Amino acid sequence: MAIAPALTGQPVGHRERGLLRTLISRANIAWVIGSLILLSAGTVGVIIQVVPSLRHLYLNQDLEATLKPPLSPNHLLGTDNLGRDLGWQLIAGLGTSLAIGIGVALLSVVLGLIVGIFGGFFGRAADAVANVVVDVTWAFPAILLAVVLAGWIGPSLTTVILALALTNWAGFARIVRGEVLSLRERDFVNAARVLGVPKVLISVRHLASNLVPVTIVLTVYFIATSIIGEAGLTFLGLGVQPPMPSLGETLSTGREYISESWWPVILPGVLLVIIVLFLNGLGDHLRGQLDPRGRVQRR
Amino acid sequence: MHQPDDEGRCTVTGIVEMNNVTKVYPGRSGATAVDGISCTVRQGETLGIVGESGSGKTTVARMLLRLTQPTSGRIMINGTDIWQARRGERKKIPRVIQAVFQDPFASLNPRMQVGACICEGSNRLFGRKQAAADLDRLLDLVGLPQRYRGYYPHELSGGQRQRVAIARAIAMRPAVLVADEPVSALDVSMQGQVLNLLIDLREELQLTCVFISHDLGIVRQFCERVFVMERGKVVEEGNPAQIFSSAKHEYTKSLLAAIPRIPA
Amino acid sequence: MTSDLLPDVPASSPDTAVSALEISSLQVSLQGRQASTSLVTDVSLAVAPGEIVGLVGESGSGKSLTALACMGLLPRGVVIAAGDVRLSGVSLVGMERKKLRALRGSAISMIFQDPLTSLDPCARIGSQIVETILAHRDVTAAEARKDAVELLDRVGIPRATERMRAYPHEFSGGMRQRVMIAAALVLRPRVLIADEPTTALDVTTQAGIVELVLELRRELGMAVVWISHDLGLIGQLADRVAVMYAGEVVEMAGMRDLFVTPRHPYTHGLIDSARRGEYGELFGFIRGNVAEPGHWPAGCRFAPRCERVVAGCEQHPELRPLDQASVRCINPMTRDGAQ
Repeated sequence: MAIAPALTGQPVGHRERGLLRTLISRANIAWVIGSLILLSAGTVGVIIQVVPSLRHLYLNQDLEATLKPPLSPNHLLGTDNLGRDLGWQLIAGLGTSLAIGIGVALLSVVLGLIVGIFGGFFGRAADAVANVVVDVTWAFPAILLAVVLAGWIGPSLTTVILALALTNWAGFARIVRGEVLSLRERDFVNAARVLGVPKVLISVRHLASNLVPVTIVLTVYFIATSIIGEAGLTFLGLGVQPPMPSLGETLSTGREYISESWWPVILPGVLLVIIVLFLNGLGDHLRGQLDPRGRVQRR
Repeated sequence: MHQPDDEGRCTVTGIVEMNNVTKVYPGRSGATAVDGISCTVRQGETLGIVGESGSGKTTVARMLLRLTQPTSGRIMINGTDIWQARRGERKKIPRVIQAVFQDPFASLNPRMQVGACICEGSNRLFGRKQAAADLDRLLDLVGLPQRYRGYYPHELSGGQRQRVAIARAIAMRPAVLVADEPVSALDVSMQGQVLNLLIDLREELQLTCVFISHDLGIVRQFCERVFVMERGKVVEEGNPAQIFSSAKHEYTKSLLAAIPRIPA
Repeated sequence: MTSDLLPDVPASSPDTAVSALEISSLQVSLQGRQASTSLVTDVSLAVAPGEIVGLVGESGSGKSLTALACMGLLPRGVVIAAGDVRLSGVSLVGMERKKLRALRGSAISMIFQDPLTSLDPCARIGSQIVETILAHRDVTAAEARKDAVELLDRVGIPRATERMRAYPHEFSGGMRQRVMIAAALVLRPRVLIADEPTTALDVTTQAGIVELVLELRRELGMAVVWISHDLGLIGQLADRVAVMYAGEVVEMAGMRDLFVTPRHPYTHGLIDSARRGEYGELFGFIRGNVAEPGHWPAGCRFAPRCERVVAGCEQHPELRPLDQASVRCINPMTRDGAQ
């Protein structure tokens, strides 16, 4: 039995464009293209490391063609001190960087979300515990952890990922906690509690989905910082070991021969700068896009 | 705790009892938000709680809904002390008392469709199948077209969103409905729609209502009994018509005097 | 200086020939990438010196935008597409920004719903007021300070001299609003636009602010446009009322007249919705939803919600005089009540 006649007529707003459609739209075309280029290059970089028959592209040493400058025949960007094609080295290194970057970012974000929500939403005791953990981790420098891990399990891909992720997540946890503290006062969270929805479910359904924008933006930033972090650690010898290619490694080795050949140092450096600038810019841009577009406050 | 009849009406005595309930916020100032409120609400009755900002009326609502813990005092809903209840009893509380909040924009998750919003609680309580079956009836009950179930909150007007919030609350077939300023954020021409809906529903579903507002005019028309709160204390209580004609407390009188009236 | 830009009309003598504020056929639009959306259409309003005109409407009515247009404070992307706004006969539309800035605050001023956003939270209130004075008047800092203290005292801030050094957040909502009024009136503007200044305040505080504005209006001979969704409040203050719906004025009448004999069905519905009765009565309302800009029907914008719709309502009605009022309706309600 209809008590209240349908007085309401048409819905008033327009249908919402999904998150994906918002991100991949004409306004963002430059960023989308840039991201695709970066992803493709990185994927290629990973593929040539993983597929055995392609490894020669960056591993092939040609001791008669060492330190050839860019624009040499067969070697667009020149060769390094072992005659390996620099172009392919860079692409492979980019693959490593991106893979590590994404891996670290994802790990940090997941950890950060869990601890941040735990501290922000599950009561004062939980918050105290979370805060202690975050504070201790926050202060811990990645390099120190890398040194310890390198000493313990030896420098490797795993070392890098662990060192970076385990120090990175705390910053994100802090941000998440802050967001959660304000989100939990929102009436839809209160309503869910009154409806009897358990807190864990509220965290996933209501909190997390509203944390997606900040998560996306920070993930992009984290990828950038992890790429630098990895390059740095490898440069210091604490990261991935040869023959695994790395921009940091190319840079590091290239130092010795800098008087004869600038390209093994400058080119990886420039590539790093471009990637990081791009990712930072992308992060800024996404932040602008995903911030709750000031909806008109309806009365 | 109780069983609904075949049409989902509540047959329990939804009694709400507050016994000297106090809420003091810890901290330097130790602000007393609520200073010893006691009352009994009979089944089917509508109690209004009126006050301005800082009066404590919202805190009372939050304590009734188990969102904010009282510093002292007891709150009994249908014979159960809701703050001392064991886990098993606690799980039954959402079945008895539900809420409609002030800001229709903020009380619905902007990323959940209307249908999902309404069924959020009833899914858990009655199972998905039953909840989905109820959804049709609920949309009718609150006067929303069926196709709205797939829309997102921001596509609806404020009044429509409040209807969704109401549907979500009654989906749980509660005995008690706490409405915290349910129409304050709506346009004047739509307030009546939602208020009349609440009037219809409380009769049809035999709801006990606790209606919180700063608007004495609305409270008078909607509630049988009213508490006037000032700075955490109940300064006056009684029948709204009586209070309007012969208020005893100074604060109530100043509230009444300040209401802008439509020139007749 | 204001005197260069506005004809010298002494503030205290209502010169009926020149309205303090005159809005003619104002149209405000949102400029989108492809097309522009009308937000306010064909709004005309004249306010005489010393008069209070109430502007009533709900969300989407365009009342705030109309006010912002008068002040030259429209947000980015929103422009005056047509029409004129005259301050004591001087047109503000298309005026040089520098001149407009000089007029703002000194000849025409505005107060808003949330004082926190219009007062600089990082500056002491005394210095904000003093700065305003010094920017527009050729006086010494000491004189400006004295003026400021007097004004704060006048608006009811206790211990004004001390409170000059306080920050906005140290005041309660009602007090902040009084500070904002002081800041808005320090230069004795001819026109004050008040956009829902008491909506966020308690009922008891609200009464004090209303009284203050009424007194100041008398003292300064100011013209006031008071914007509100609250009919009861308008009934306390206004001499004349303009009712807006969906970006246009649908009725304009003297205050008493409007309430006793509402002509436009929307006005009638609004009054009905605001009326409160006894326990057990149903509440008045208008069916349907408030119309959104961009989705207005071509004909009468209120028609989808109107109970008095007739054959001619698909044509967009004009604002026509009816008795002592103006109505935008081809089937208005008349004195005898019904059809």
